[in-house]
Amino acid sequence: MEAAVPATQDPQDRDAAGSATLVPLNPRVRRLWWARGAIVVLQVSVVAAAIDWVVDPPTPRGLVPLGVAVLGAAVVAVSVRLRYARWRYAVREADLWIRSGVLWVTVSVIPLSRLQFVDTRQGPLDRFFRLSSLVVHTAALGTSGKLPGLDVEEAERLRERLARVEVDVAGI
Amino acid sequence: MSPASEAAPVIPAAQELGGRLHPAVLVIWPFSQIVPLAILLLTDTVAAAFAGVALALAIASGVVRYLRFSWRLAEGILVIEQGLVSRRRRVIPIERIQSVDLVRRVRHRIFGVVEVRIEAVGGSDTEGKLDALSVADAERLRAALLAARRTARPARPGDAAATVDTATVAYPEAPGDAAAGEQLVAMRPAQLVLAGLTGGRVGVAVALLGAAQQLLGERLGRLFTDLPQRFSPAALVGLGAGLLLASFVLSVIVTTVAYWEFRLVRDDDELRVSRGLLEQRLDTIPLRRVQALRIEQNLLRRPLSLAAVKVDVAGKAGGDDTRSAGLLLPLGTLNQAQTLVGALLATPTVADVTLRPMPRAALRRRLSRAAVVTVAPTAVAGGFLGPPGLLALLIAVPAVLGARSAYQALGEGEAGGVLVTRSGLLVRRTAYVPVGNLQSLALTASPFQRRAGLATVELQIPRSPGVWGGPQLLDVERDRAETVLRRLAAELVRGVRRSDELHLT
Repeated sequence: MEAAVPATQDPQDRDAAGSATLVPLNPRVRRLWWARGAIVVLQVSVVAAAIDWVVDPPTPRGLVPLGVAVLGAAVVAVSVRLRYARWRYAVREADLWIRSGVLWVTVSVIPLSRLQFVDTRQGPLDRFFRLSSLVVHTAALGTSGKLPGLDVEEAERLRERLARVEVDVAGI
Repeated sequence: MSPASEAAPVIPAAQELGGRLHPAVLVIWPFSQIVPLAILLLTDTVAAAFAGVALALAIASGVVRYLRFSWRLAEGILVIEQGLVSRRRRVIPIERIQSVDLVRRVRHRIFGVVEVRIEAVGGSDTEGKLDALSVADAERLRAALLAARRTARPARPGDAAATVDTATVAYPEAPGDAAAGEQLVAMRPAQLVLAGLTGGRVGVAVALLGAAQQLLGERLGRLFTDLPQRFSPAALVGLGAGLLLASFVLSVIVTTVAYWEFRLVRDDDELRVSRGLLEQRLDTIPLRRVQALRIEQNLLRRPLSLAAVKVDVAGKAGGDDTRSAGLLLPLGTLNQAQTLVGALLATPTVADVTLRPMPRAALRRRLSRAAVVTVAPTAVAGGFLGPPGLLALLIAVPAVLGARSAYQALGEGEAGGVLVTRSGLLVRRTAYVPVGNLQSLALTASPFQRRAGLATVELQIPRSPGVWGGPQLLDVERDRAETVLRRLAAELVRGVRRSDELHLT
């Protein structure tokens, strides 16, 4: 477990886990995020096209929806790239570290002994890309941690491993 | 490793409780319909026949609800069954119960019954709500829940107190006077008046009235030419003063009635809060369910060195009475508040811990926010009004003062395993979080924070939804944030269960 910290792209962004081996998500998750982004961009573009059709804008027909689509695609491409580069996690012997975020960076630490329950979730898109997300909850208010884009077997394996941890309920 | 889950709560057979609600609910339930119906009837809005039918329906549905409602406490599990068409069965294991509140509204007091609210971990509503029980039943239920909880408590070496404490505390007829235990807080009527005068209600009212007066003041010239007789400046000032006075009086009355005879009592390992003139409440919080404490000071109380103390407990329903939720000390001096926090956390040193200020970069962030708040409206006003719009630059005065005050509020410290964090501009909150109560941690950094080399460390604890965002170290140096995160994470993993050692002397 005591491996060196993998170098990250952004030197400002040293990972706080220290001695942990932070690993990236499954690379396929980028396709999932692209697909999701594409769906949103498509919806927005359709709406833009409809408005463009109805209000007869001063710009040439189709320019606005096209611009929206191109701009949206660029934002999706960049944000997926950044998000994938940022997202790292480490399941250590006794705690789970997750780093995430594009503009707002978050590093979460969840001691495994505090886990109340662990879910794996799979939407239709996840299934298509054979991915699964792992959601962990502690007794704290709100969701504590989420790992999207794990390989299905990896997610199941992790869930089994986390579920085996003896939970310390004394404090709640 | 987890004694609490192994030591099944043992309840003597004699403490098996259960049954229906008190028949008084048949009147208490339709009560909320009776009043509006009466008003509608008296104002001739509805016909008497309509009101009669509505009332009959309300009573009939109450009878059905009563017949289909039952509760039972046995073998450490509270079961509540209700529902006509779809039966709902709620099962609450005793070890998940966070607090037990007894509430007596006026309508309950007429019939000598009590409403019991049982809060458990998870869920956003009150998990167990028994709308009316006889005082004796309610007291037996409360005692049974707490006795079982004591048995279920993990036994520690040399712990002689792990026996069932069967001493039941009679529900105080005048709240507080029959309660056993050590009285920590007792509010006198004069103190309640002061609490009302300096309460947040007035703070909001003052701010609103000030803003309204400013708005009217700007338009005063136009109003003056339009309606010279009706709105003289003197009348406006008088109106404002009258509203202000009324809001103070109202605030004092509301506060005094709500917190009448406020008592905080510690008995063995539980806290009891009793209060109320018309609606009486007796809230019970097991001390080991206390997740964090906080001292709150609003704008008015800060210069007077006055403060309130609140407790963070998991599982309370949010909503209706968030203002009074978890209140342990409605008003006291800052010193009293700090001493109380130290006593409840069994760490007297937290009372006078000196807080480390945050780096100057945190002040620069707030000043640049003040600059944005000033420049943007000035640009707009200048654009529309020309040179007179530049008067908007005066916003800079409160904005900069606010920025400085917000920066001075920031601080963090630690004493005896209790983390202390402070922040807040309008309401300054100092949170006291025992490290052992942390569930998880998060370090967050916005783009602005990253550019300034700052970060925030969130101390995530079980608590109830409400206005408060939770304890956090706001705008610490990035390096320090990471150090704190690593250290706390290591401490949590080592299983420093400080809460096990707490309050059990």
